[in-house]
Amino acid sequence: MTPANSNSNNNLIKYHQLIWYLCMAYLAVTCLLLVTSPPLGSEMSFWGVVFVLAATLSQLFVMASDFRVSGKRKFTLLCYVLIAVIIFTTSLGTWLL
Amino acid sequence: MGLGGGVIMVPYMTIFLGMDIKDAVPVSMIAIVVGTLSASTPYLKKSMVDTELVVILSIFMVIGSVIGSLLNEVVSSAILQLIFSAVVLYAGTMMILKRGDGRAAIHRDHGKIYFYLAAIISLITGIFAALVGLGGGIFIIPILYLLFGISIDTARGTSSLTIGFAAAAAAIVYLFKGQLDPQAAAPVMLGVAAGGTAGGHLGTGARPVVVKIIFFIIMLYIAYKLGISGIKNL
Repeated sequence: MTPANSNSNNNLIKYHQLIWYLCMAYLAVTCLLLVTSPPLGSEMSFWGVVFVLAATLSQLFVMASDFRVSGKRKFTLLCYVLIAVIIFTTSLGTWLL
Repeated sequence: MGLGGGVIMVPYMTIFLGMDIKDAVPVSMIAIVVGTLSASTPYLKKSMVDTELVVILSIFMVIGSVIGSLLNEVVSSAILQLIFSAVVLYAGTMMILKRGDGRAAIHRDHGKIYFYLAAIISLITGIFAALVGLGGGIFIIPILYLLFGISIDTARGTSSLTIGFAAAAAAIVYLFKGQLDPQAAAPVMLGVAAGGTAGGHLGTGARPVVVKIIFFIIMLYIAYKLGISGIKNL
């Protein structure tokens, strides 16, 4: 492995910043609605959780893209393996119960 | 600190808010996911993340965290608290005792042994982290620092990004099982999103020795609180 990212993670950095702004705005509105309009706030809370989880998984596509740009094919592939592992293990975990 | 925040959130929710650890763990997991998204940016900007190691560790931590989530059903809260307490105490002591700093990353010349070691350790870490409701940073950072010889700064940055994937996998399972209360999670996520970024900026500027001392104090406090709570619940 190469020394701690020799900064080929520009896309990942931009992605994190974008998600953070979206997250803050969405959650702030949700918390406000939980006080003023609990049923709507409750609904938005659920989708907030879904959004955060989706954003985390999407992050792997961004990482894979950064690795591909850097010519690190093995790690590009491993990013997709990780996505597959997450989907498989969570499906298994849910199905087992 | 690169811990994910579970080390603070779970004890806070169980000890101060009176939540059962089994209710607090799913909320903590989704908050950890938000925390890693927020706190990783400063670490990435300062090249304090070994993204290649992140991918390898994450693959096995994800598998471990789902195993841990399943075991959470059959292991009692008291036992979880006692295990957590002992592991945190041990890791904290070892970290404060170690002198000097390590490398910026794991290098290719260390070969397959490091890969297999990273795989096994991250699998076990994933199981423990999910069982006690942590992102795994409390285990991953000492392992990277003590065992792999990575610098404390890179260990924190790498951990910060790694634990998000494992926590997300565990949170998805909790969500599908209906154990994650989104209403309870929303305010926690908002606070963590704001605090995570602030913590990330502060963390990247902190001196390693200061980080180790803060680490030790947090670990000692948490180990004590959960140890007492675990004994009472036996």
